Amino acid sequence: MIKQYLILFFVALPIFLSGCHNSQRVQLATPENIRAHIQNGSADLLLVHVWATWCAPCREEFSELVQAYDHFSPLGVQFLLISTDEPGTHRQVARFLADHHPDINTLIATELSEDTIQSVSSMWSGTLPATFLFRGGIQMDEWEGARSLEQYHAAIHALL
Amino acid sequence: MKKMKYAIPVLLLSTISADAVIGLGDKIVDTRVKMRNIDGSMKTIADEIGKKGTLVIFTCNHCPFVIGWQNTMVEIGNAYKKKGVGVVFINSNDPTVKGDTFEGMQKLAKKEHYTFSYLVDSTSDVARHFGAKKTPDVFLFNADRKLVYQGAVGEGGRGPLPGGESFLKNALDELLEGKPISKKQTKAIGCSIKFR
Repeated sequence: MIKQYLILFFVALPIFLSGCHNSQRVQLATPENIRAHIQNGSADLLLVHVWATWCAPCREEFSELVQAYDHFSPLGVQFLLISTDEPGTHRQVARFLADHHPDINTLIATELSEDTIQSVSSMWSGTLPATFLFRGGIQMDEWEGARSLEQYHAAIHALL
Repeated sequence: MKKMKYAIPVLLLSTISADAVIGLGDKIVDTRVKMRNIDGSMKTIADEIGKKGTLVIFTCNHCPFVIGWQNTMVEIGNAYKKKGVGVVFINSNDPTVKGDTFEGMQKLAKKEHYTFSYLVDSTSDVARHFGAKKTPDVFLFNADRKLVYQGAVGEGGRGPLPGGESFLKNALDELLEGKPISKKQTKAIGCSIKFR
């Protein structure tokens, strides 16, 4: 009996911990938080991707983005996702990420205001999805709309 | 030689129309492009030009940001049409995207009581020429057909913020009162236009 409970415990524990891990990777962020994340990025190159779980082009592109992450993260490129899902959908966002890739830092914008847009980039029109590349807090490239893996590679390689 | 005299201005006009992305102060474009209205008729933006100004909103059926702002946009459209502002909503999305069918547009317009045209931009080129990238995206022109306000319907995210500023309504009131537009350009998050 004890043996069965122990097996159950050791099976359940990693599942529980992975849920906590996913939740920790997803944080609410004000425009000031977003600015700070972008300005204080620790890597030489920071890719910021703004998206939403309900956004069809965002979902279609997501696997390409994850592949780009898998390729470039070991090379030192930092990735930051900014979700424009409702703050109350924290778990839904975490679940989406867990289904695709649990390790990418994600912020959920607390407000979808012009201040949030400006906190990411003054060049951004507000269109979803949108992707930005920063070096030392300075924007080096940006595009709106979905891109292929090849296009991600080309854009990032051009700055490495 | 005579033919050349006319060919050059025509070529210039077609170039301007093909590449135009309009900015503040620029004249409205694509006024002669025929687009299907929800009542089945073919209409142009020229058909909808108002004496006091013209409001063009790029919108669609399904985007959560459009849905959140729908009541406000329709209230404004219906109200200011009565005040002499031409109003036209344009859907430039690829109809293969779920919900953006012509029938979907007709249903939405009926449900929301549109009293203005809701047109199909069948090539998405009207959106391209305006420089519209997302929905909703607002373009307000004065009586001289010059762009005086561009951007968001109002302050807020996926719908009006309680107590938030109503950018478009303020711009319309200032336009009708003959005042300079105090906030000429704003930004809002929206769904990318699904260009054809």
